[in-house]
Amino acid sequence: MATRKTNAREKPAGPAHPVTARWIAGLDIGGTFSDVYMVDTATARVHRFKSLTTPEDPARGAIEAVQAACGEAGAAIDDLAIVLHATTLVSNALIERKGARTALVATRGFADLLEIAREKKYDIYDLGMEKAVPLAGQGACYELAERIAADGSVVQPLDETAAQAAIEAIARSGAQTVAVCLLHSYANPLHERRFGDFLAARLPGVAFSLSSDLLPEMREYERASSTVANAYVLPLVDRYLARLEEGVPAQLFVMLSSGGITTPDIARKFPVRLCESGPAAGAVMAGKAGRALALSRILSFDMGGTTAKTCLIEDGTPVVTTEFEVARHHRFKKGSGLPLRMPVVDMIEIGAGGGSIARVDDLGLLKVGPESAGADPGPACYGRGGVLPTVTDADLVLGYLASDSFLGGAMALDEERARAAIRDCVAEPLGLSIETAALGIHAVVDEAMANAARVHVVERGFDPAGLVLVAFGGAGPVHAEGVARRLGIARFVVPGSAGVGSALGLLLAPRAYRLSRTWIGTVDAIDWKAVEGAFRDMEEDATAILERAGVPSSEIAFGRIAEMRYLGQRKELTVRLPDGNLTADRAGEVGHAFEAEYERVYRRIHAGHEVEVRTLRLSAEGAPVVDSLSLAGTVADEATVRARTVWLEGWDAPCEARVCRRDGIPPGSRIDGPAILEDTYTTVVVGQGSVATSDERGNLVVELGGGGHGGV
Amino acid sequence: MAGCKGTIDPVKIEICWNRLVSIASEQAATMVNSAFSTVLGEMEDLSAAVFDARGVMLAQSVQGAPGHLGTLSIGMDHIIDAVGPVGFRPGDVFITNDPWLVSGHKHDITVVTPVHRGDDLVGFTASNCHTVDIGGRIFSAAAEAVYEEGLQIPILRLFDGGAPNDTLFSIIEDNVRSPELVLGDLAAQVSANQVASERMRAFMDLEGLVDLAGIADEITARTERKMRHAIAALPDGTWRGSVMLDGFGEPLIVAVVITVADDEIEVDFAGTSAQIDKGVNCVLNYTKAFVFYALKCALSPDIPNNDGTLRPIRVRAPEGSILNARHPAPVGGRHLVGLFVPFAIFDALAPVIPDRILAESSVLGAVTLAGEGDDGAPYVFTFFCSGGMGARADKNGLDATAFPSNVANAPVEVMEQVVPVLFTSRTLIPESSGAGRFRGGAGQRIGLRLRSGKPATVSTMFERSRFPPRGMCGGEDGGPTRLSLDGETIDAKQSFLLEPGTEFAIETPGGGGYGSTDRGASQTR
Repeated sequence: MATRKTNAREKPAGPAHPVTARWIAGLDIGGTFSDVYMVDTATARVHRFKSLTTPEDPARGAIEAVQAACGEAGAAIDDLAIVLHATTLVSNALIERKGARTALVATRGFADLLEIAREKKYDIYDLGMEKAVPLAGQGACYELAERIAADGSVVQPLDETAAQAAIEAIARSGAQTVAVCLLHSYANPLHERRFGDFLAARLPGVAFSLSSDLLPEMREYERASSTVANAYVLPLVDRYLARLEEGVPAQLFVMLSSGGITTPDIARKFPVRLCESGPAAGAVMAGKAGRALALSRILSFDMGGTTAKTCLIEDGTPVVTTEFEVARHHRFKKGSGLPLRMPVVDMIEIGAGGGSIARVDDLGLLKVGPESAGADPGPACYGRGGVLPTVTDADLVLGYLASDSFLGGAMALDEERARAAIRDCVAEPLGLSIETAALGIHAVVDEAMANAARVHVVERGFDPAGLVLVAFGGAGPVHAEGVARRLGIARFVVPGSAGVGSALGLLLAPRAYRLSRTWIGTVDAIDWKAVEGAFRDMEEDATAILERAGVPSSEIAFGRIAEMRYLGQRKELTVRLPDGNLTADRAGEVGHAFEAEYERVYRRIHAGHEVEVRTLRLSAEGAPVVDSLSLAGTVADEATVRARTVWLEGWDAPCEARVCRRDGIPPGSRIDGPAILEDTYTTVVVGQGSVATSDERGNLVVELGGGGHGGV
Repeated sequence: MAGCKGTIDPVKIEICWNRLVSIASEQAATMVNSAFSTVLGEMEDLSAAVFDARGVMLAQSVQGAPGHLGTLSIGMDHIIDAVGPVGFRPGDVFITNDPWLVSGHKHDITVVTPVHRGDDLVGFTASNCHTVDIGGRIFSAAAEAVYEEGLQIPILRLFDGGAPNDTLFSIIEDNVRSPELVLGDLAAQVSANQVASERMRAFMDLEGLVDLAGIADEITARTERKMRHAIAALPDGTWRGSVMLDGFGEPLIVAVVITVADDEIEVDFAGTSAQIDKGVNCVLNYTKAFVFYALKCALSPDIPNNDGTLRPIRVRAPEGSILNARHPAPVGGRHLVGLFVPFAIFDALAPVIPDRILAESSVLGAVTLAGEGDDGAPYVFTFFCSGGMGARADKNGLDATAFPSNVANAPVEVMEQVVPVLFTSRTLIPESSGAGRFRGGAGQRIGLRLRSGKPATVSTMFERSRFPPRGMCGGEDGGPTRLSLDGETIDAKQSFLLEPGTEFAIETPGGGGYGSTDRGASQTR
């Protein structure tokens, strides 16, 4: 049995419902847990489900999770009308190198481009540094005699005889997939397409990916790396989705890294775009929660077992970037992985989760993470053989978690083991009490997350102090107050289904797609008519994709974006272009839009300096599959109130905190800290002086008090 | 939470330290993101750091250039001496590019912003960036005296109590070739310091700190202790090393004597070549930077850099040598010599810590192309290229990776967009790897032709054509630098006219191998 239920207590199985396909489910397969959030569209009844993920057979695990969730909800699998899905399948395949044997085809003279990469070290002091190994090794690279220039003109036509010879060599090599990345194909895809035709004709069983289809953007290394990664996971995703569609007879949609929902056929063509689907779904959920509360700018904070993700969200929609890196050699060192250029929610991930291990380093300083105890052996308090103290152990010692109510009581925690681990590894070496050491662990991990979040926010030109934090994930609400305080944030929100936030996010995400093209010229000299034409072409392509997902073309909202910079600068700013037809007489408007954004980020402008357009981007968005959904779904029962001794940061002595069952808190209630508010999948810690209020949508809104925290 | 009086608990130190490193890194990112030149924006030839009010460096940006290690700290001392502790007013911004005060050539512009809370001086933010032009000759090693190398800016106020020094801005504008890029990058430096200063004040508010001295002392003391522990673990003794350079006509030598006594190291470059009348001479600050860098890599690579790293290390170089040049020696291309300092140090330390160093590496080379497109538009473009990194004691060297510098290449597609050239190849040269138990990283072959029908002036700055990277502990040498025109070898440091149709090719050196091949199977790819 691959799927193991960890909890069945949250909802009693309801009475059997008539068999009509009326349920809609969000299915999020994460690294440790698989979450399902189901809604009965007839009654608005919600069911939530969590089980351990089964990495050995992801398709079976996914199907079984859906079956088990349906079983609990009292629905048959045929009752599912729609399943929206996020998965770690692609990122796992890239990290664990479990994709297809992939060949790279490049322009003659450039077959080593993946090996040469960018020539830079990601750590200047580490003489033992290793670089990420390309997914297509040196023996798997083939060259074509052809050449296209930067302006798209053909310098040397594709040598078709040599191309056929390359295909024979690829056939002999046993490659399962092929990535094609020729120089300047973003400007002219002719040779890539021609070669693709040859491949399709000669090797119909070998899947391939053209860089001009996936990513028509300048910079050959990053484009090749992305195309190879796409080809690498083509067969895997194809097989997986086929099995899922067979096993779950509902209409299937898949979440992209950009936070948009798409159909399985697009996912099959560009599977690499699924890489960050789970975290993207979480960001979508946080954005919707923020929008429902009419918050214009929020910071989403998703903390799980191994990592924390944080993301700045404006006006309810996560910002999408195109720079991403996967399979890092050092997980948290930028530049140590394989670059993927694809639309991806702009978030930062750091090695701070419930399982992060605390230790004293050789400078006598307390360090937490990035090493994680994972699920096996897990934190010391899991009692599975872990002896190193983790953040979860500290949270237990401090009274934030209780030994008998973790995961709704399905998993008992051993506080004595947690205390022993903290005593041996942190308290005694530093000469601190166990509780002070635990507070230190809590403080260091909160600081690490706040630091990462601060850099993320500030680099985007905002002050964290003006934001509202939206906390979710198993550990997020436990640490939200400490992180918020360090960022100068006065308020945090914990949505109703925070513990299964990504699964809920799937139901709320728009059906969406993004396209881009390299397009270079100064604002004053560029051919705006041609730019308009390029946007219209992209709009046509996007419309075809969204129509297949059931969005009528009349209901698609397009967003036109340009990456722009002052002429000569390296880094572009993302600027939303004015609505309506782009013509030469609107160049001034575009220039002003750029300068306004520039001044916001860098506090000055360079008046009179030429402004250059570098890349055109189109976002196309339709409605979510679920048209309207209340974020509520909790049913009030008795609020079980008890008291527990907790240690709060900034206080020298422990205090008594009241403990409430979260689903028992009626809307409009006010709870003064210190308080611990528990639900099945997460715990909200409300500090001294802080006040939590519950609203009709099931959110908890916590206003931070001054407390005794002094600076922190 | 307790302020910074008396002892500071380890949790607080860890928190403050991380915050300061992140402020310095944000400072660097702001510069790179708003940079105008490729040299700052693409190569990231910069450093950024934050200091307390005494000028003690608390943290340096993670992406700092190795050649800037410690130079900002020395520069800060000079500026505090020149201005005096009471001379810093809110809104002031200071500037200098005096090679002898900071990092060794006029292309590096240092900008220092005092940080005040109210009227109290609490610290400094400083940055150092390689500017795209500073007047004088084009960036090269060709000058015979520093006067030919462009505009020298003494320690001056660039902003005086918030008001721009218009005189100085005009002087800079009129003395450089691409004023919009130079002033644009300068604006990026000022912006970055401003952003970092805001963060420092917010940090002090949040932590309830009245000054930074307490936290500075804790951080630097811990870093110093770690460095001293690492040095103390070495046997006491004296070791000698050296490395040969192509130089100009006559080879040059960098020679070093390293003495370890208890928990301190003295590095003395006695025996190094006298300064020459070509712009490759290093000021002592720059020499020190590469000493600190090499020793930090070998002894204490894993903690953030600050003044504590440098305290147990003493550096001497004969006055008037290529590593301690006397004014007015030309210094424009000082990296061509300075980049060799780590190799001399590793040569000396090979018997002591053979497992913590690496075989010799290729050093960064540069090509500048200047000409006209078919439409008559002029262009000037510099690109850098790296060869193989030396093999390590337990693994192969990295292919096509700069060491000790850290510069990214420019994508072929980007270069072809900017300059009318067509690259014919960029491939690794497997046979350039120095053989050994572990092989050196491979060099690369880069070929190009002009697309324009008009010839172009090409200027090249490469080392290692006569002295390729040496192997270590029995490993073999890597392949040498080779520049060619249609296959005919040409000199590695020169200017020439490239005709349309001719293929210009660069072969960069491979890294040296590590360990002799007969001690085990050769590790090839």
